[in-house]
Amino acid sequence: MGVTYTSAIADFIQKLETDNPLPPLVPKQEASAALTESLQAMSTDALFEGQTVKDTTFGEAIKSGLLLWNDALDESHTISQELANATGSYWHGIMHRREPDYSNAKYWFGRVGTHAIFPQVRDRALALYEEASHPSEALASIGQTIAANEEWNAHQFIDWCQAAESKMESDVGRFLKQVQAEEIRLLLAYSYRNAL
Amino acid sequence: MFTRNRTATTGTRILVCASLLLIAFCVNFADAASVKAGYQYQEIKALAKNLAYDSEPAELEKLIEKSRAFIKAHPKYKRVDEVYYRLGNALIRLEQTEEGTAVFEELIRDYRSARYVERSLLELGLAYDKLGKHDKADEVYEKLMNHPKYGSRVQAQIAAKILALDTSERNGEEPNPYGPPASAFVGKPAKDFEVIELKGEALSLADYRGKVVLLDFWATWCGPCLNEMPHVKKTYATYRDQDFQIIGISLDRGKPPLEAYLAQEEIAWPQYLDAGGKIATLYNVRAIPSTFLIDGEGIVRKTNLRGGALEKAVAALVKENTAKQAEKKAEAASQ
Repeated sequence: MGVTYTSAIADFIQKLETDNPLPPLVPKQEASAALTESLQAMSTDALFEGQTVKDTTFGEAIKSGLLLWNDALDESHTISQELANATGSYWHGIMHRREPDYSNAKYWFGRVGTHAIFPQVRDRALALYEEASHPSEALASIGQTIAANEEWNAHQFIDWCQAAESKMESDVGRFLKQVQAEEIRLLLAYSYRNAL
Repeated sequence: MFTRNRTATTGTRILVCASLLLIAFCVNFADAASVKAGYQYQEIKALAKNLAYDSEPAELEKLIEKSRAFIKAHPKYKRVDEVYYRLGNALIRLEQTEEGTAVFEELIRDYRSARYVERSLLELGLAYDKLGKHDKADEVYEKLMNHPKYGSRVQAQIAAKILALDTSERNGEEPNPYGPPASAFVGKPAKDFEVIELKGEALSLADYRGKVVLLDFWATWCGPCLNEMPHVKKTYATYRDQDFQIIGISLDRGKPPLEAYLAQEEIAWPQYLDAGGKIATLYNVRAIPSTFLIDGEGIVRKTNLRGGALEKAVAALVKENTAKQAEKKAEAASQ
């Protein structure tokens, strides 16, 4: 990804990497109330430590993304619902996917269109699939579908999340969580790069 | 006393039991109604979800039918606003724009601050723009931007962008967040580029002045592009000797699949492997296939030509170009 975050943002990321490395697809509550509180108390300027934020939509997206990683859906939503670009819609869409409100998630992914990080999300998803030593039939089918399509299909990913919600016993749930974790990290890096 | 009391107690008991039964019945009944509404709502939601990226008219019709029935049966259901939104959206997608606006108007009037009012206001404004009723659209966009609850939402920001446009540009489509659409290039000079094409030769668009050029953005991984290829090949074969040239801009990630496909299909026109998206960015190409037809003067004349329309447009422009070049020659000879 090649992103060097400000130390304020890097601190939050480090806490999240330690406490919530694999966020649930559908969280029941925020991972750390303290982290939500300290994130909300911080202005965008403070997060960027005085660096000039060229695009405030992307600057705010960082905050929305960190809150989302912390499973603080409502707090993340309050920000993302006002971010009028594809990346804002992406954060918004993930939020609804995790609520879960799948049709609403699709509305926002419809607004995302083809996002610049999609090829990387697809590459990471394929790599994660290849790491699975004995994939179940369900996971194999997902992996093969990803491999067969040159483009990442975010709508299909929503369908998989929905299907996994009712049967969490398989390796599919874990795989989807891993992909989601990559997606969050990639989108965070993308938001950061475009903010400055 | 004892007896009376007992009788009274029995009477009370009977009364209590009867009341309880009645309450239980009512609760059950209410429960059944709300369970039914909930079930129907989920059914509509599921239908709408699949429509988000793959819509069949028959499915839209089904959604419309179910939504209308739902609104009639459960006007007080807490999520009826969403059903209104789905209904209006489906009608507009089926080009029943007038009916769609009526549904959105009703929603906005009766459920002012409901959850789906923000996106309904935006869709209503777009629908009015589509119908050419820009004054009505203005009102709706302003309502959205001044909405106490939704005034700063994404939809309100889009409304502000639409209001900043000239009414002639307001056709009911949202402004493209990624920049100008291909059609915005029409009538303007094609942006020049100098690159090294796949075989190692220098390739510059400016070198093709005097010829009709088709700039064809594609990739071997893009199914619709490959479906287009027979038309492109046929057009090339027909007009290649009449000052017509195709330049392929491939968005493949590497050479091997591209070279294999070109060899297999015997495609001879120059190709540039635009893996970094350099030229795609220049032309703001966000989806492929995408084509730009450029005349002998280097002006973009048409975009996004496909199938039969491609050959027709090339035929017309080649004819025009041949006449123009002949004229130029005659002019030069007379001087």
